[in-house]
Amino acid sequence: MKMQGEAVHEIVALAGGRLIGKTRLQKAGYLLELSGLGYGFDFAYHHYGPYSEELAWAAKDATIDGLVVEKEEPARWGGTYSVFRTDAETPSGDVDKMRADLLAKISRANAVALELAATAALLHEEGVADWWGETARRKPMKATPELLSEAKRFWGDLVKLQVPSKLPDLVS
Amino acid sequence: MLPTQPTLCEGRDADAQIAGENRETSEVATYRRLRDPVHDLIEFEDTAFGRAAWSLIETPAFQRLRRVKQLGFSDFVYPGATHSRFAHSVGVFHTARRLGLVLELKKAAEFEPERAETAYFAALLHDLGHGPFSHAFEGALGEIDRHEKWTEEIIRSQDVSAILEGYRAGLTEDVARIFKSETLPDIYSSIVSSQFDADRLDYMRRDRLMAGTEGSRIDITWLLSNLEVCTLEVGGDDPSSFASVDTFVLGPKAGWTGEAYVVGLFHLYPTIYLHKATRGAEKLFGRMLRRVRDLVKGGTPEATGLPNNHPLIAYLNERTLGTYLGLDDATIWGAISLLAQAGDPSVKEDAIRLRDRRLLKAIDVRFELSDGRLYPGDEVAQRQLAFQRSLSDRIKADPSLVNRILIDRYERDPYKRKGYESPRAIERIHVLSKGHPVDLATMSPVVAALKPLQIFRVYVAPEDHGARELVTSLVQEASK
Repeated sequence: MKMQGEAVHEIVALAGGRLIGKTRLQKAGYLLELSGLGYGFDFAYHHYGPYSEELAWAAKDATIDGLVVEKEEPARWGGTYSVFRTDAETPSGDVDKMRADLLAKISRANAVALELAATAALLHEEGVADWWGETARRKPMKATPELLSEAKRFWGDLVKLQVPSKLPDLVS
Repeated sequence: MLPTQPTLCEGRDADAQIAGENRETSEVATYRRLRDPVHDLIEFEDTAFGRAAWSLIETPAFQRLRRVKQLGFSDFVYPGATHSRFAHSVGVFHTARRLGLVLELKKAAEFEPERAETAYFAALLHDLGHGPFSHAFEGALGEIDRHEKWTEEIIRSQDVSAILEGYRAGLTEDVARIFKSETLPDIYSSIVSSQFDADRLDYMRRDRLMAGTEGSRIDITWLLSNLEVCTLEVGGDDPSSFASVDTFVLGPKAGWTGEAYVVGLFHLYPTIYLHKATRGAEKLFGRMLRRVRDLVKGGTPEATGLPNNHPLIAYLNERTLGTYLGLDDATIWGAISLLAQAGDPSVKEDAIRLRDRRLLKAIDVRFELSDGRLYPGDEVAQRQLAFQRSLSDRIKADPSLVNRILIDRYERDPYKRKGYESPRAIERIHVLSKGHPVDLATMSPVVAALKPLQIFRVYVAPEDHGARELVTSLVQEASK
């Protein structure tokens, strides 16, 4: 296993050198693990769905090391959000290519739809029968019909990717 | 010109508002009363609501909270801090009702008593799922925040649910939903989840009072009498917002009170919650608990010194609601003399240490790596990382160090402007300025300047000179 900070560095590099949001980083880390492309982080349900404390610390360590730069940007809604950047070259092995394909979709996804989809996936993994319903119950403010549809579309798109561990079919 | 949010705010002029205990008292007879060190008299009126609330307090699940201390091991440092989650929960209920009165004033004819009552019940029951030494227990067993799920399960259990359903059909689900979900987009949920929620307003006052510290005092009367209701946009860790939410904001005359509130809340962390001795006791307890778990899992529970029918053994064998409810601080403290006679030397040593308060010695690595300032600069972060890596290498070479050098790393952001890292929809505080809500960090350079507090400490046994010398040498190495 890579040093954890290096794993974060690699995730950001494979996402195109720029990744918006700590929550997006968490969901990316989780979906990489679920696809068999992960770095060995453990995830559990937290406030915003799948969360790894190890990954959160690793992101901090990566910024301290200068492997990635984290900048807080002002959001239109009045708060702030994080942007991770790196200029490092993208690794180019077979696994890296699969990771990059997955991360490209994750980077383009609506942040809330991504959170809803990753949460549904985690609930599915935990054996919850109605994973979308349960996601909606846990996230009533985020799970609008439009965003739930978008989350399902995103997932439908994601499962088409060739990955070592096939992602579960959560939408049909 | 201060940046503001386009918004809708409700309410009259702040001076015209009187909230909470100063409001005219109702003429409803009192059913039950409690005296409380924070709130003085807490009354349960002789109504269906008051009786239902009191019935909930009388359930075994709620009475169990008498035996769960609010601050775990803090009385090792602050001898007075022995208050229970029972007292806190009743205090939260009382505070929730005061917040409800604020809402009643603001919403006037639009006030919905039924939804407010749901929030009051949720406030009363919010801590039902806490186990012994709460976070230390969950952390040791890899069950972070599991108490929230236990709370939901207890609310749905027969005893509690029967009372809730007896009061109003469907109330169990309404209350449970509050614990299951992220913040609901209505103002009533702000009573139990907001910057000024009843939980925080009670524990801030109770913890400082019982600990005996003179810091972190908040002006609760002014705070409550200056609360306003506004609709604000919320977002996640992303540029765009995803919803609007009604929440409490401060009126224009409460800017200073808000500033003191943020700083006061923050100061509770270094002074009380993150005190090195308290955290050290938690680490020690965690190590003992993990060893007990491993012995039970390994089929040698007798080596723990506990009988097979002890509630802790029962829980570790089968983690059900029934076995969980058998656990509380008293169960553990009651077992400490048996654990101190354990056949397993590690359990025995840790139990004796906890019983006699012979704690491990803290080495504040961040402080040692710094020039002694309260907020060290970035250079310390790099030294700390170098220390962590060296220690990690040493642990790989000698796995016994995992249990000889206990690591405590924690970070607390005093004021979050971000849309994540919290179950609350909005962690920011807004103050009305010229009719618009303005982020407190924009109004107050004091709040804007607050930096995250980080701790990085290690704990070693005083007599383990090898471990201590190793840490000292790694600190010196990392300082170069």
